[in-house]
Amino acid sequence: MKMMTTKIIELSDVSKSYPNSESPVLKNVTLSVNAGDFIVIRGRSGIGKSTLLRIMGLLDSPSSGKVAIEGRDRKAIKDHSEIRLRKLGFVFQQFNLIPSLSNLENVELPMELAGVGGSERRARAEALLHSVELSPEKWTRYPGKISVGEQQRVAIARALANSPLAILADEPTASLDEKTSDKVMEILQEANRERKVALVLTTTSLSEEYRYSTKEFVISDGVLSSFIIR
Amino acid sequence: MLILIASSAAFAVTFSILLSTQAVGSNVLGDQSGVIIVSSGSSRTPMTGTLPLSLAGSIGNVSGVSAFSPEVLAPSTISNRPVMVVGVYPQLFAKVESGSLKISSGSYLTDGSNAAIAGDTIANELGLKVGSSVLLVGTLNSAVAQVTIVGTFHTGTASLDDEIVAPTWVGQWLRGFDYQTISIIRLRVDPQSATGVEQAVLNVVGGNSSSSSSFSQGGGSSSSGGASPLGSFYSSLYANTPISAAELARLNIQVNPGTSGDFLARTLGLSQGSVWIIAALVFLSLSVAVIYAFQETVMSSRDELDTLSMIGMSSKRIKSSLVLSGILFSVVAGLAGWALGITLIEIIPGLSALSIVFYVVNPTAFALIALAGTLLVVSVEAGLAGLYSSFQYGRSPSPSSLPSEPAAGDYVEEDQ
Repeated sequence: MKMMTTKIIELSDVSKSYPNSESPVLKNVTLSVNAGDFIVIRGRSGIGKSTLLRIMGLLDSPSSGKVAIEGRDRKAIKDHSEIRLRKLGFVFQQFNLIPSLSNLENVELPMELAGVGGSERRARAEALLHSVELSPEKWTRYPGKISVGEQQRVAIARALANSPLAILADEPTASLDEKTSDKVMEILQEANRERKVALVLTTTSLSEEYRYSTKEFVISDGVLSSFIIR
Repeated sequence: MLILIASSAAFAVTFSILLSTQAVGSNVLGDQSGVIIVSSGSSRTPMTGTLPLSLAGSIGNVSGVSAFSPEVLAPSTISNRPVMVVGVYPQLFAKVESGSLKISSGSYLTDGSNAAIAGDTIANELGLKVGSSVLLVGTLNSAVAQVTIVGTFHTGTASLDDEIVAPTWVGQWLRGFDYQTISIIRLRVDPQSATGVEQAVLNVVGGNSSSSSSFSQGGGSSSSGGASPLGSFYSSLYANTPISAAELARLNIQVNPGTSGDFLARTLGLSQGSVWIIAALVFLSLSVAVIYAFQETVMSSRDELDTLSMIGMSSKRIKSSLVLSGILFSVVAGLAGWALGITLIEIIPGLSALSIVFYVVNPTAFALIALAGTLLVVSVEAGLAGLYSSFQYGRSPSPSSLPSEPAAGDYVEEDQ
């Protein structure tokens, strides 16, 4: 009996061109992100990885091709922000925490936007910060008062806040040292394995190993090529 | 923020001073509804012009005039403090001011005495009380007059409450006038028919092109026949004294010269246009400051706004929070600027008590209106700047880490 897979994000023949660029950034990219996937997209800087993540996260539109979230075409989705709020989580290279909010409040923010009540929100945020192993005395500190590795862990907790179907992580370890990178990857992979959150991760490294990745791609000259499919 | 505070302070100070100056002009010249001023246009200011007293009775008989008051304006000093002394016929003055003049203490003026009443403002400032003896020193004529304060009054108009009101002869003495000369005639009319009355008065004094060759007192259209309704004391008002056409032409009698803009123009050399230009320049500088501050705020929080968008805040909510936070920011800065401006008015010598032609201009009296004006301007400007910024935000590039590729200007926010 064939297992039915749930397609969270589906890109079909997606191309993206910018008015000022000579050639398309993305050429006929087709990619499916299924529940529980751990997808690694490799490629050098400025090659189109972030553009691909932006299109997957409904932050940008393709020049051609189709993008669907849970089977719904992006054009049919009235409120893209609602999809980002409830279905997707983002982790950035520069963490992008709100500096005027405490670490706890940063994690609470997506839940607040989603209308989760105060006490439940606080409890869930604390549990998430606990799961990313941020010590409780740092919960009420501001992001600028903790280390970069800890900031990235807070960002991961924030990405997980509304129990997303997928996390789009744009070079999440690029600003971190090796030891901290390992810790951050461990947390992301744990979320992928234990929470069944699909993980789409971009990296500039062509050699780094991601033990639990289900699919790996290389993007070059706008073309997405399969690298490893486990 | 500092630029916005400084601009708001400049706006509040300028706005207060312009309003208070305008108010002095309005009060002195009777911009108030239902009061018409008749004065000589041949003088630089209505205060320094002269009119024959005999004009008053005839003009007072014009249909539609319910009361008239010949007055002598005598710029003077009390203890070196400039003050406007107004010489009046008490009963006539009371009729023109009926309803607005309230005696705060003591009693009203009586004819022929050396009594005077003081407006509350100047009474408080100089410590004048009922029974105080005051030496008035004329500034346009070498004359002094000693009067006794018999009462203090309140009208609610800033300039009148800053005046000393005395019998006509006191004013005439201080100005060096004879008993048949006055400065202005104020008329109380029905506001609805003010324009018609103005024309009728002009007809009586020959101020229009079809004027008669001479004007004889008692010849008004609705003359009471020369008998004073107020008793023999006022009979001189109705003396049958002919005024030649040449004299009328020399006097260049004007009816209602009293727009405050004219006042400013004729007393300060400040035209209404230049006042508006000053106001517009200050307004523009404040507007530029608001827009600049807004753009700075948006730019400085750009990454934060992008992050909010990526974690799921709707574009609509981001834009509305942008507008609201900008308005809040501007209002706080406007409030701080206003407080700074009013404080500066209070602490800078000469700003809190400007003097224009013997009337004290008190900008702090308009502090609350200046506050309302400042907040209105900054919030409307910030609202417009916010709408513009939010529009630009929706169109412009997103600089955060995700869209780090090609030309930054190529990114377009796709949120719906």
